[in-house]
Formats: sequence, C-alpha cells, structure tokens
Amino acid sequence: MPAGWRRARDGRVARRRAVRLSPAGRRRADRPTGVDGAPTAAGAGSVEGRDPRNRAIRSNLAGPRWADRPTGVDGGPAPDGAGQVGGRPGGGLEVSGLTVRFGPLAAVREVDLAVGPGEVVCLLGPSGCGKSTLLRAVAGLESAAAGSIRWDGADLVAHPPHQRRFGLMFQDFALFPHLDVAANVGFGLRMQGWPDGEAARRVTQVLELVGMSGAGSRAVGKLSGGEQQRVALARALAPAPRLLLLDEPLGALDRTLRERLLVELAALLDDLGTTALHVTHDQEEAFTIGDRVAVMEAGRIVQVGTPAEVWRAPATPFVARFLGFHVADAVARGGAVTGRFGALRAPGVADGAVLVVLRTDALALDPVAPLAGTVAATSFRGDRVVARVRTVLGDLDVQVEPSLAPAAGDAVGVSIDPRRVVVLPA
Amino acid sequence: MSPRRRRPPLAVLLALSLLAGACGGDDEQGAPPGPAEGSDPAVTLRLVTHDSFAASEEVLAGFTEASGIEVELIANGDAGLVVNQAILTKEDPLGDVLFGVDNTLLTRALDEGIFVPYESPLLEDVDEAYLLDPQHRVTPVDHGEVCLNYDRAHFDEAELAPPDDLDDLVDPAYRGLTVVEDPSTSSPGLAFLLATVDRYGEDGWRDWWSRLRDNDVLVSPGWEDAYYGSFSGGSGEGDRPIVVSYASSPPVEVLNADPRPAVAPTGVVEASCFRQVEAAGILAGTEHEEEARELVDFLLSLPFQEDVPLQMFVFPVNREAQLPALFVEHAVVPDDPLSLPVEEIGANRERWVEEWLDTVVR
Amino acid sequence: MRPGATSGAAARRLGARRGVSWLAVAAVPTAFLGVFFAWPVAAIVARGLDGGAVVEVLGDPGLRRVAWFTLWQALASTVLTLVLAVPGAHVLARYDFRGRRVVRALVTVPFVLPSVVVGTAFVGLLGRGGPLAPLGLDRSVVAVLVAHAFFNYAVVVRTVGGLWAHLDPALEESARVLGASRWQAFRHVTLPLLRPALAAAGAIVFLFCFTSFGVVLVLGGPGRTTIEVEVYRQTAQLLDLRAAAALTLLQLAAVVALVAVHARAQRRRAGALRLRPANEVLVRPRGRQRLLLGGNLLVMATLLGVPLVSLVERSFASGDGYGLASWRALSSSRRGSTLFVSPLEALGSSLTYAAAATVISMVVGGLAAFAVARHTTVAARGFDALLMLPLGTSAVTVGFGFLITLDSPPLDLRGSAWLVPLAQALVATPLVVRSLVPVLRSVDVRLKEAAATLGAPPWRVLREVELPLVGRALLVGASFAFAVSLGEFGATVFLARPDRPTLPMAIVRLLGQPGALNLGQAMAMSTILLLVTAAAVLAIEGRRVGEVSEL
Repeated sequence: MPAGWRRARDGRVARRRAVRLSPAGRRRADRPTGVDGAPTAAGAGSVEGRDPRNRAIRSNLAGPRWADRPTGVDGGPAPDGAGQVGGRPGGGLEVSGLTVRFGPLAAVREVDLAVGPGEVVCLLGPSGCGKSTLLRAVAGLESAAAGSIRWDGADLVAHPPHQRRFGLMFQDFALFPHLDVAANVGFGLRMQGWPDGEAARRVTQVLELVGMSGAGSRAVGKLSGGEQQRVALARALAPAPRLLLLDEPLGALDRTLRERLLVELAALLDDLGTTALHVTHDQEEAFTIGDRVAVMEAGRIVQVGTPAEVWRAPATPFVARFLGFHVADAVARGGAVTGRFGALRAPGVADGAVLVVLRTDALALDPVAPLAGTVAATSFRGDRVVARVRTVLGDLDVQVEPSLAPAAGDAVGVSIDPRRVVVLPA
Repeated sequence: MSPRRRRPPLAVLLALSLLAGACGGDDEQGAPPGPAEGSDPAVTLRLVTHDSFAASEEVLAGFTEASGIEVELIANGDAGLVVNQAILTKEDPLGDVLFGVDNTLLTRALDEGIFVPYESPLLEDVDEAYLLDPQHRVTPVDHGEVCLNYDRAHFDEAELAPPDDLDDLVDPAYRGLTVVEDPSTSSPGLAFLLATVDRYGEDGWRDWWSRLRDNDVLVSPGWEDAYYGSFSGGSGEGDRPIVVSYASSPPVEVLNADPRPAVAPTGVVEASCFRQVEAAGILAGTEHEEEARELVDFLLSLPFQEDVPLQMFVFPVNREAQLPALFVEHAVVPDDPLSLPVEEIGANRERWVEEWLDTVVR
Repeated sequence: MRPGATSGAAARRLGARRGVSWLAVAAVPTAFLGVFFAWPVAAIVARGLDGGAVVEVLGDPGLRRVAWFTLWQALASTVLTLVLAVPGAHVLARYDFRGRRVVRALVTVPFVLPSVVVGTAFVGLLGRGGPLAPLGLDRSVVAVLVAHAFFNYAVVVRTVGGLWAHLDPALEESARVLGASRWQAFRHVTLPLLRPALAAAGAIVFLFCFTSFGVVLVLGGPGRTTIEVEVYRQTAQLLDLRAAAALTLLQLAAVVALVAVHARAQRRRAGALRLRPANEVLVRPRGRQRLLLGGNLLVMATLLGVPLVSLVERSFASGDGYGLASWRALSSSRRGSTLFVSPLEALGSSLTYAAAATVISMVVGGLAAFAVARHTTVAARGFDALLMLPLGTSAVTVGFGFLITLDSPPLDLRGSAWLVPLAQALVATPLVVRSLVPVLRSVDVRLKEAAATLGAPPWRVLREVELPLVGRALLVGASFAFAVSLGEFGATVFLARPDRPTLPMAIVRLLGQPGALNLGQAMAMSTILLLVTAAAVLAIEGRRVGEVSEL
C-alpha cells in the first residue's frame, strides 16, 4: 500500500468518527464504522476484509477492466483479477500547469493538482472560481490551452472524453430521459461491449449498492431528486471508472436530503476505495467527503491540504473568509499582534502589517474580555448556540454552550484564544 | 427495457442511409426505375417530344419490327419547353428526332439551326398547305385547330344562337359568356390570339380584344382550368358556355363519356379556328441520321397517321389516312382556318403577347 | 520546456480534429448541394448573365410590380397560414383525443396535391355557380391566400407542433402561478420558446408561397403573376436566358435576405430547452380546451376538408348521379397507348421515387442538421442559409441547369431515373433540416457529455443519445420529405421518363383532355394520391424510434 494513500485513508477514518454516521438501510448496517463510530481494526487499510459482497463489487469496479486495459480497446470483459485498488506509486491523476481559456478569459490558470489512487480530493470554491471547468477539463469536455493531464504518467490531454475512462456525475444528473433506470446505469457497460447478462448482473449490483434495488425498470422522469442522484451515481460507478468526477453532485437537492446523501456518498466512496475528484462550493460537504481539499480562487488553486490542515491554517485571507472566519487588520511587533481586537501573543511573527484570522474556535464569550459587543441575534443549533456579536471588528459569530446562551441585546465580551488564530502577511 | 429492443429501427434507418449513400455513388445499377436496357437491337433512336405525345404501343412495335429500330421516348414538359431544351442542348443533343414543334414555335428552332434537312418521299401525300419549311428542316406530321367551343345545351335553353363568328363574342347578347386562356402562359391561348391577329389584322385585333374585355371575358391561365373550371359544356363544371379549346374536343367529349351520347354536347365555331401544324425534325448532331430518316418516314406513314386522331386528338396530314368513325361523326375540320406565316409569328409573337396583356389584363 | 507546452499542442491538435470532423459531417451535404444545385444553377445563370439585363429587369416597372406582388402575397399567405395553423398545431400537440393521429396525417395530405388539381377544386367551389360563390372570392387575392394556407397548414402543424409537443407544461404553469393570464403565459413563455420552430415554419411557408406558380395563376386571376411564373415564361417559353438569369438572381437575393432574418431569429435563443416526452404532456381536453379543440377541428374541416371532400366526391360523379365509372376507367381507358399508365404503376413510380428521395434527403439533411445544430460559427450559419436556397429557386432553372451540366461523365445523368429523386431531395432536404435543427439544438448538451464520459465515442453518442432523443423529429422529417417528394411536380415533370410518370404527372395528363371520364379519373387518382399520402405518413410516424418514440 503506498504510504500516501494509507495516510489519506487514516485521515478519512478519523474524520468519519466525527461525522456520526446514521444507519441508512441494510448496506449501511454492514458497515464496521457503524454504531460506535470507532475505527475497526480493518478500517484503516483494508476495506476488502469486511464484506464479501462489497469486495466482489469492488474487484469488478476497480479491477483490471478499466485499470489495465489499453485505452480505446473495446473488447469483452476481462477475467477478474485481484481486487486491487491502487495503482503504482506516484500513479493516479496528475494535473500540471493546466490552463483552460474561454476566448480571452482564462477560467483555469496553471493549475497543479494530484489525486492519488483511492484518494478523494474536493475542489472547493465559490461559484465562478473555475472549479467546474477544471473538472470538465479533466473529463475531457473542455480542451486545455496549456498543461498536462496525466493518469499513471500517461498524458491524456489529446484523448477525447470517451477514451479517458473517467466517470462524471453532473450536478443535475443528466440522466438519459429516453432510457429507464437500468438502461441508464448500464449505458457505460454497453459502450464497453459487456455481454447483456453480465451487464444486467452488474446493473443489479450497482443499483443495490446505491440503495435502488428493484428500480431498474422505472422511468427516470418519475424519480425523485434523491433517487435521481443515486441513479446518476450508479451510472457513473457501473463501468468502474479509474477516476470518478463529481460536479456538485448534491447541489440540486434540498437540505435534508443533501445531508443524508452526503453521508452515504462519503461512506460509499470510502467503501469502494474510489479515486475521486469532487467539486463543491460547500465546505461542510468538502470536509466530509474529501481526503484532501483544494481551494480555488479565480482559476487558481490557492491551498491544498487535508480538511483539518485547511481548517486549522487557511493559507490566504480568501480561504479564511471562504471558510467563514473573520479576518482582521493588525500590526505585529515584538512577538505580539495588535489590532482593534486588542493585543494577542504571536511569537515568531515578523514585525509589520499583518492579517489575523480569527477562527470560529478561537472565539468565546467572556464578560471580562476587552473586546466588547452587543448580541445582535442568536441561532440555536442543538448542541450549541451561535451568537452574532456586533463589535468594533464587525459581526463575529461565537459558539456558546446552550445553557450559557445570551439573549439578543445583551452586552457581552468576546475573548480570543491566541493559539487558535492564524497570522497571515498583509 | 432492454437495450436490445431499441436497436432494430435505428439500425435499419442507419443501414438504409448508408446504403443510399453508397448507391448514390454509382450510376444505373440498383437505380429505381432505370432506363430500359433491353437486348440491344441494331439502333435505339431517342425521340424527343412533349408530354402529351401518345401512340399505340402496337403501332410503335410494328415500326421496330419492320426496321429493327427501337424508339425511346424522351418527353419533358410541353412543346415550348421541349423546343427550348433542344435549343439549349444543341451542342450535345438530347436525342435524334424531335417531334412536336409547331408553327407558333418554329422560327426560333430554325434560326438556331437545331435541325438537319430531310425531304421524305411520303410528303407527296401531304398537302402543300401543311409544309412549314421549304428547306424541309422539319416535316409536318399532324394538324390540330384551336377553336371556340360552345355548350350546346346552354344555347338551346337560352334560345340564343351559338356564336357564328368572332364578331359575335363582342356582341352584348354574348356578354359574360366567354372564357379564354392567357396567351402568355397557355399554348391554345396563344393560338387564339394569333387567330384574332389574322382575322382583324395588325390594326384591328387590339380593338376587338378591348371590346371583348368590356364584354366581360374571363381569362384563365391554362386550358385545364378554363375548360374544366369555367366552361359549362361537356365535362366542364363552370358556367360560361364559350371556351377556347380544340376542333377535336367534341369527339373527345363523346369518347370520354359513359355512356357515350349520340351527339357531342359541345360544338365548334368554325370561323374561329386557327391551325396549328405539328412537325418533326432530325436533330443536328445525331449519330443515326439514316435511321432518323426512317423514323420521320414512319411518322408520315399510314399506320402512325391513322393512329394520331385517337391518340393525340389531332388530324393526320397524310391525305390517304382514314379518319376514325368518331371523328367522322363528331369532328369538324374547317376548310379554310385562320393562319399566319411562320416567320410573321416568330417576328411578332412576344410583342403581340405583351400588347395583349396591356389590352386585356393590365 | 514545461511539459504543458507539448500538451497544449496536443490540445490544439484535438481542437483541429474536431474542426475536421465538422467538415467531414458537412462535406456530404455540401457536395450534394454543390453538384446538384449550385453548379447547375450557376451554369444556367452564367449563360444568361449580363449586367445590362439585371439593370433592365430591375428597372422594368412591370417586373417591379410582379416582384412586389410576389413578396406581399407570400408575406400575407405566411401570416394567414400561421394564424390559422398555430392553434391547430397546439391542439394536435397537446390534446389527447380519439383520431388524433389520423387527423395529423390528414392535414399533411393537401401538401402533396398538384396545384392544378387544387386550383380546379377551388375554382369549382369559389367560382360562379360553385357552392361558395356567394363569398365572392373567385379570382381574388384572398382565394390565393386561402389556397396557400390550405397547402401549407401541414408545414406549421409539423414544424411548430413538433417542438410544442415536447415543451414542458410546467413552464407555462409556473407563469400562471406567478399571476400571468392564459394569454400572457402564452405570449411571454410559450411563444418565445417556440420561436425557432415558428421562424422555421414561417420561412418554409414563405418560400413555398414566394415560389408559388399554379395556385397564383389559377386563383389569382389574370395579371397576378409571381417571379416564379416570369422565370418559367422567360426560361421555358421564351428562352430569354438574360432575363431569366436576372430574375433567378432576384429570387436568390430574396431568399438569402429571408434566411438572414430567419437565422437571426434562430440565434437569439441559446441553451437547451428541457424537453419532455410528448406523451407526458398530452392532456384530455376539458372545459374551454374542448372548445378550443372543437374550434380548430372546425377550421381544419373547413379549410382542408371541404376541398378534399369535393375532390373525392367528383371522382364518384357519373352523369347526374354517382357511380364507379371513373374508377373503372382508370385501368381500362386508353390501354395500349404509350400515354396509358395504370394507377398502380404510377403509384409504384411515385413511391419508388419518393422513397429514394426520402433516403437521400434524410442522409443529406440529417448530416447537415447535425453540422448546423452543433455549431454557431459564421460558417455554420452560412451553410444553414445555403441549405434553404433550393426552396426559393425555380424548378425550371434547376432543370435547365441539369441539362447543361450533368451531361458528361462521370456525371452523365441526363435521362437517368436518378435525376427525379435527386431533384425531389433538393426540395425535401431543407424541410428535413428545418424539422431537425430546432430539436437538435434543444438536446441538453450534458446528456451528450455524460455519454462521452461513459465511454461513448462521438458516433455512439449520436446513435445512443441524440438519435433516440430526436427520433420523433427524424420521423416527422422523414414523413415530411416523403410527402413533399410524392407531391413534387415542377421538377419531376421535367425529369421523369414519360413511360414512368408519377401520380401527379398522371393526374395532370388526364386533365389535359376534355371529357367527364378524364376529369373523374383525375379526381380518382387524386383520391388515391391523398389516401396513399395519409397512409404513408401514418406508417412512417407510427414507427417507434427507440423507446422514447413520442419524444
């Protein structure tokens, strides 16, 4: 197992615990990360050990059909090989120097990005930042003005989409309206020339995997949003793409459904060990699904890291603000930063103008804190309350124990934990 | 739904398309109704003619049997169109013999030199009056007269005498009774215009037409809508009892009725008839001039000449030919029809048509 | 050198390859139009072309009058046809009622009748003594406009109805929920969405009326002629190629101008419509809808039904009563003459020619439509415009052009039976393109992308996604092409061999001689023609292309 991948998996399982999976259907109940949320012994490295059925699917999905066949050859099914997920070390997707232009406008500028085998990377950014364009370029749907897109070292830039063996799931699913559910899911298999019987078995398997057993003969026009999402995912997964591209796959769904499916999707990608590039504008989604997160701003990737790294240490004011953190002007002098929030210890920071990122976990209500304000509003979030406090810095969202929640209009103080702020150069 | 069920119609469609694309490339093989390519007799002559040319298959077969010459018909459009096609393609002629050029169209064809002369020995049985060209570049084959026809029943009921002369048409008693064809779009219309030019002279015909116009004449663009649409006699469904048609129309009315009446429902105004002579000529550039002469002779021979009345509803020029009983009983052959020299028609036709349009229509 | 540089070059190569594939798709239609339209027409125009003639023709007040009449009667006919037929398109696209498919097929029938048959039918109805004489429409412009509406009703029903049948009713419903009245919802939501189809239908109807020949002559009365009639007179009768060339150029200029306007209308709408399978939007009419349906069926019965019924009625007229004499005569009278053609043979020729023309126009028009629909470049728009030109060009111009161009190997087609379907396909191809392009443009591009990422190469995307999605439009285009080929007269009469006449040719031949039996036979053959047309349309459109046959 490549070291990088193992690290990624470890990170993921650790996070899973925090997400608190809810059992959703029979398949979910099989999951070892289930009830108590603790990582099982097998959890970190070997998904295969757990569920024979899943392993069978996985060996098909990630097996030699996609992975080892020469590009463009359209033969019959290859015999199942070992259920190995990963490629060679240094394999997977490697994008370098990629630029995509629409006329004079560069929507993606000199982007470098790698997705290791089995890894899930989320492209996170506001709408219009170029993340979807980058995804489409990887899929081959936009042509690159410069740069390379490699898989296992082989440049795919000149390959049309159908030769890349990547799967793409669209935001609005783009299910074929003239085909029923089974035919939609089986589409990629037919393109590969699978014999009907084998393809039908695979379709059944994959539909079961996404919780749509028995829906094969339904018309796609009659499906609910969540069902469409599952079918779209099944369709993308069925041909066992070597890379799964997901373009805001939950963006078209309502909030409740979105949150439930988000968890399911994360678990499924994990189960299958799928290598995936996932585009979203929603940080919660990115942090839930991604082993690593790449934040994009105006066509460039400005930070790449695990969700924890990005959250803990936003690399630019843009990233910080995008994550909902307050960014304040300050001046550093002699190991301390001083701003309208007061003075904070900041050992090792060079003297001069700086920006201070106040992470949400750095803020707490404290009657004696020097930064005073008035509670403008509170919102109840179950296990906590978020108080919006109007201060000289502007509005700050502070999390409070429900039992200690202030009322709107209360005069409060806001304390800042200097260990949880990030100092960036101005 | 299984994918399999979706395949056949599309596959068929695509296969058809591909097949069509492939077939489009090659010439005659697999063509839809391709030209008959029978066992090759000595020579096949292409007879270029108008689309109302007709002959008994038996008669044509007799010619082939006797001469060993196969005749292939090429008929695209009316006589004017055919003559003009022949002129346009004179460098690379469409056929060997052209049949159907008449005295209203002849000048241009002769000027363009599309025919080579041939004097058939059978011309000795043809009255000189039918000879259109002293150099024999064309040979007369048949004649038909464009005449006013009238609805016998109408005039009987109305207790009005049928018109006897062109003058009657501008008489107020005949107001609103006449339908004519536009000479700019119709061949009988043009012949009737020429009839009036002959009858009233270059100085008088326009005056006659403006009086006819004042007498509520109806102008139709073509023979079909004038006769079927506006004429009341015979098979006409309109309400005007006088129409410009042919001397042969009454016998044809009898022929094409079930049951056949004893007397034709329509009559002919003899004094209004204008003679059209149809001729054939050997097209310059033919590789089979010898056989083409044989074909011209055949057109003048009795079997073809006696076939002409019931096939094309015109009269033979060969004085030896017997008319069928139907024509003897119901047809009128005017003794001294109106007529104009070919050269005069050729020189003035377009001007007369323009002047007619100015007088009657505009 | 950065690795990106080579990849950039590869990407550019890829782009170039996509350009090449577009060229390849467009090559077949371009070659077809080039050889069978542009070359012959250019050759005949070149024969007569001289600047003086153009100036002379354009300066002639008589011809200016003809040009003006041609233009305004075509515009007025188009407006009248749209006004009468758009509601008809609506009810046939949206309402589920017994006999809907048969009505849809029947409205196509007028389209194929020879104009001389329709002319005599209208004259019989409107002329003095006819049942509709009191309307006073005999030899009037109104009669011309009504007859044009009669002929072209089907164009609107098919082109506009084809798209309407797939518009999501939710769009209009949401407008209604937002407080729009029924009319406002139609005006502000449906109408703009339908615009490409309306523009296409309008353009086709306009071109048919612009080049109208027989109808204007027979019904318009003397002195009302179109440029088309003048082209015919100058070419076919007077062989004045100078004037003919100038008039042909005038026609072409008018068509190009029209197509430019049409292309603008097409371009305004970008993005895909959410199309729905037609069977999902069908409703059983209730309340006011029943009234609308009834009203439209009444319009169809009056405008289309009365002339057709009178035609059938006359085929049974015998003496003062009714009988089968004409029908019996069809197979017996004139047997043994070179002019004799049994109705069965004529039907056979008609069907063979029309089938060949349909296949040619589906291949040529289908490829052209895909090329046009996928690209919005200037070149693609120019190509789109070029495709419409044959509709606005006189058949006699094309026919004479064939004579002087297709006369030497490798294209020695003079006298070849192929000329007929080729000429028919010239007229049918623009109709195929116009029926397909709006629907192709509204296919969601993401469906094609989804198929590509699932491993489908471009031809399979076409085969598996686009074709099934536009299957309905393909069938509509095919039946349209078939019908127009069955009815094509101007070029067919010019090119078909006399021993293999088509049904319209046989009908016109019968009308060339007097006699009740002849008239009756002509009407009987017309009845056969209309029945066959209706049956063919039903058969073609009844086929299911893919499971989504109603989409």
